[in-house]
Amino acid sequence: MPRECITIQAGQCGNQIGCKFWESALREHAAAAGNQGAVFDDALSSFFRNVDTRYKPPREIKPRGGNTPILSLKARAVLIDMEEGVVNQLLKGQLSDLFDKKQYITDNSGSGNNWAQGHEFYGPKYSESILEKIRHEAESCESLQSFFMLHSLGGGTGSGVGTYILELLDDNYPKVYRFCTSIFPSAEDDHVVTSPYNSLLSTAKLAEHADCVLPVENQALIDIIRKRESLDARLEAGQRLPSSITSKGSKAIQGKSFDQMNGIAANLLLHLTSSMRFEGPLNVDLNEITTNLVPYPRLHFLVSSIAPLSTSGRLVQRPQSINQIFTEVLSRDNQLMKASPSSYTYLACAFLMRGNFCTITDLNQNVSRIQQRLHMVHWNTEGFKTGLCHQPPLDSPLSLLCLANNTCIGSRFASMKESFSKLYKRKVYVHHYTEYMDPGVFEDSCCQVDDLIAEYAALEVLRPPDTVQRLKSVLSNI
Amino acid sequence: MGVVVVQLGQGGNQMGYALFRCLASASDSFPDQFFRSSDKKGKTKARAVLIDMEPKVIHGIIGRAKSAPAQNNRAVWTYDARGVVTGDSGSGNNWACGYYDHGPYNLNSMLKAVRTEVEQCDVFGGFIILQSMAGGTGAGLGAYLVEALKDEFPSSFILCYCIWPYESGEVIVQNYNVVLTLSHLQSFADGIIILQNEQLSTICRTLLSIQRPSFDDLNELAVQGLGCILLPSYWRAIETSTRPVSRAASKGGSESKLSNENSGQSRVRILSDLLSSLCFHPGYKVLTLRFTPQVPAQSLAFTNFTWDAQLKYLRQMFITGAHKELEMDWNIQLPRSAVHDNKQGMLSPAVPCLVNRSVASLLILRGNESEYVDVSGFADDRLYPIWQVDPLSVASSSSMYGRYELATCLISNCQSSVLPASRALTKGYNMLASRAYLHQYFEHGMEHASFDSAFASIEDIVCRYSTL
Repeated sequence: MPRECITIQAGQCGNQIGCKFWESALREHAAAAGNQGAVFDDALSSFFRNVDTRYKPPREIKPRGGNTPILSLKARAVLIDMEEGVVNQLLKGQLSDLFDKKQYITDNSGSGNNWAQGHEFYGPKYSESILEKIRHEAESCESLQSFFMLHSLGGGTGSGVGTYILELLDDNYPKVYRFCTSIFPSAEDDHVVTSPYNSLLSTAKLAEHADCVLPVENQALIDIIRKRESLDARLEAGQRLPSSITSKGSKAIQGKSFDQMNGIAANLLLHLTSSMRFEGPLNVDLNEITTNLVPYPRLHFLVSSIAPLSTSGRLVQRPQSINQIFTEVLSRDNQLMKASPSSYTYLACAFLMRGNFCTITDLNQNVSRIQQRLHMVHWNTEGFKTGLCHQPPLDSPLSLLCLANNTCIGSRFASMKESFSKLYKRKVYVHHYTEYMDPGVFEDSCCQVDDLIAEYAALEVLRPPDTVQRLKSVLSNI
Repeated sequence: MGVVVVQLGQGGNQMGYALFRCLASASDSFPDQFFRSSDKKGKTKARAVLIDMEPKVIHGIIGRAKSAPAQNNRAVWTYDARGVVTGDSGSGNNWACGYYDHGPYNLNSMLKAVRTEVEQCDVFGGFIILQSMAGGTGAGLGAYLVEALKDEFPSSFILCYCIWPYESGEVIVQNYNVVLTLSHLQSFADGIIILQNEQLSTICRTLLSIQRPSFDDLNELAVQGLGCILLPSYWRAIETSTRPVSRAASKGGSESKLSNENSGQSRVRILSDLLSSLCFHPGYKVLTLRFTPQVPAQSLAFTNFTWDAQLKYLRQMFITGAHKELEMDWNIQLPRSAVHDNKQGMLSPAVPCLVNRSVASLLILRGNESEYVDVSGFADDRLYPIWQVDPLSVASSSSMYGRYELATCLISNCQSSVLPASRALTKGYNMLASRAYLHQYFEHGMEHASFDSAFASIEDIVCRYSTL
């Protein structure tokens, strides 16, 4: 009886990451099956359906006792895009068999990088159809646990339609967790002028309707790739290269790099869900992540970092020790977001380890070591959640995912608000938005994000009270 | 007589598997109290009910039990499939989810599995519940189940064997969860044995030469003490005369009626005798276990064990509240005079003198000549309150315990048992004051008043023990 996850990919970026994710997931499960050949077991069933396509309509095959043969795998996913290009490419490519007709929605004209067009026009237009497709997926699940939303916040479809779908899910499936992997636009290489509007409007919705958000910044991914490339080049050449190659001047992002960036984001999802899909001595489910890392309902934005980082799926060169990996995962270079959590306060932190030879003691020892270095909020000085899964990832014998609920996000939102205000002060491009929505929505979203920033800031400066009130036992008088 | 073991949650199930392995291998035949043979094919089944809200762990251990190699030329034992209750979605470390959602929802299937197992016992001796206190299923669902079992089987004993989480944090909301669980168990269980993960890990690393203990290592150590208690043993007196020639001279120490015809001693009835000698007062139910020897497996053949040495270490562990043989503070000694001042114990807020005072203790000795060893040091007046006239019960068995020539286990109802609760309380208050994570609990129907009453209940427990 597996806990299924339905992935919802919205917009160009969302679909591209999704594509990468499905590819890697299949390879991981194939590697886990090893020589015995793959069977459709509970692990696979959390992300895939098994159908017999000889029948019309195709008949569902449930996992039973772990020996069910795989006939035809279909991903538990719904793909949405307001332009046809990306989805069509996906359907023509290697993964075309994973999706059937009932799983995608496309339109022609795109959302014009306009959140309002996505949220107020395309959203309602396709809401019936979207709900229908989600219902179809949900019905084939025995026990649906969560929805994964993959989208970017800078554009129109991913941000607008994506957040609209989030609201639909909140209304129709309130008990199912809603996890979002949201790509925040990068400061340097951002070609979309309206992205500050789109990101802020989406963030307000995410704060209200998502259960957990894993923000990923394009800039962080770009830096990781550049660093990795230069490191690989040095390792291959076996010599120190002149520093010009490692310069941080902005280069145009090439196609190959986009692929690598999507790969890193897909890795995040794979590590997050590894405990649900594979065996381990200390499993961490998605609902455990929310229970442990979200102390207040709206503060559910987690900074993620992965060690070791790989970009092209090549084996990581240096074998690493567990201690080294822990130190690495806390470095800024391994984060998927440009922020400095070490200068701010940690509210809670989770470490999810994957690998064969790590034991719970290693994890605990490292957590105790790290505890002293991090600044934790006073009521949660031991706020660490640990998880251990025995199945290693594809490219390395050991990997560690760190999810931190840290007040540095507040400062990130503050800078997002600043870019928003710069445009909004002069009401630039606002008329495109007011075509579809009420201008009050801007003000409301602004207020919501302000509240969020204030909540984080309050926790940042929080000092422990002098006395904590305790109940007094009546027996103490005896 | 049969005892049903209920394994709850990931921690409980993993420990349960280790426990049955220990019980099966520690003696020549499968103890009748914990195993039964199935009619049709003569297969031996464990008297167990396995409950978890996600299926992976249970399937894992059932698989391991089936594929385990035969030990001592006997057939392997397995779990009965009718005793398995699983849910789908896990409890997410959320105590309220386990207690308010999964508990009521699965109540019927859990009670059915339990009833089936109880009916297989000729004489039913009670329940042993294995659970962890920090998670959602073991803790929350466990608390609900213990309440339900007390309702359904009001005259049966319930002993809870609970794992206390690492204090460095396994689950972030663990301080809430342990307080909530302990307060419920206090009301409905008859005895609560607390085992700290931290201590198990330290013992593994410093004494057993296991540098990086895995969960299997910790579980094996965790069930060692429990196995020592649960295997058959016989009552004996505290002070025996020097080794008599005929064994008929030994006296029984309590009013048990079951007797072993060979030696004239009365057998310890699991659960009923245990709990009536230790947990006779409703306010004192929290127990700890101390087990010796703590020696690495590879050194067993080369170590010379003597009763004097073992008991000396055990006694000092008892007095100082320590759990491992080394690095104890030998400076802590009992005060000269038997002043029964209730301000002298380790929990005393005034001037704690660091002596671990107890309500009652039970000592079990296993090995050659265990019936004749002098254990009067454990019955010292200075360790117990003035109203306790018969503080120590002793049982023994001359057979070896597993690989150990001599083994001793002391279960005590003492102050060191509530020290971890006291610490969790302080941290819990801190979190409660900031109202952190509370929405996760309220979402499932819990109210703030429940937190208040749970905290109050633990304050009461700590207060009672501190006045010993």
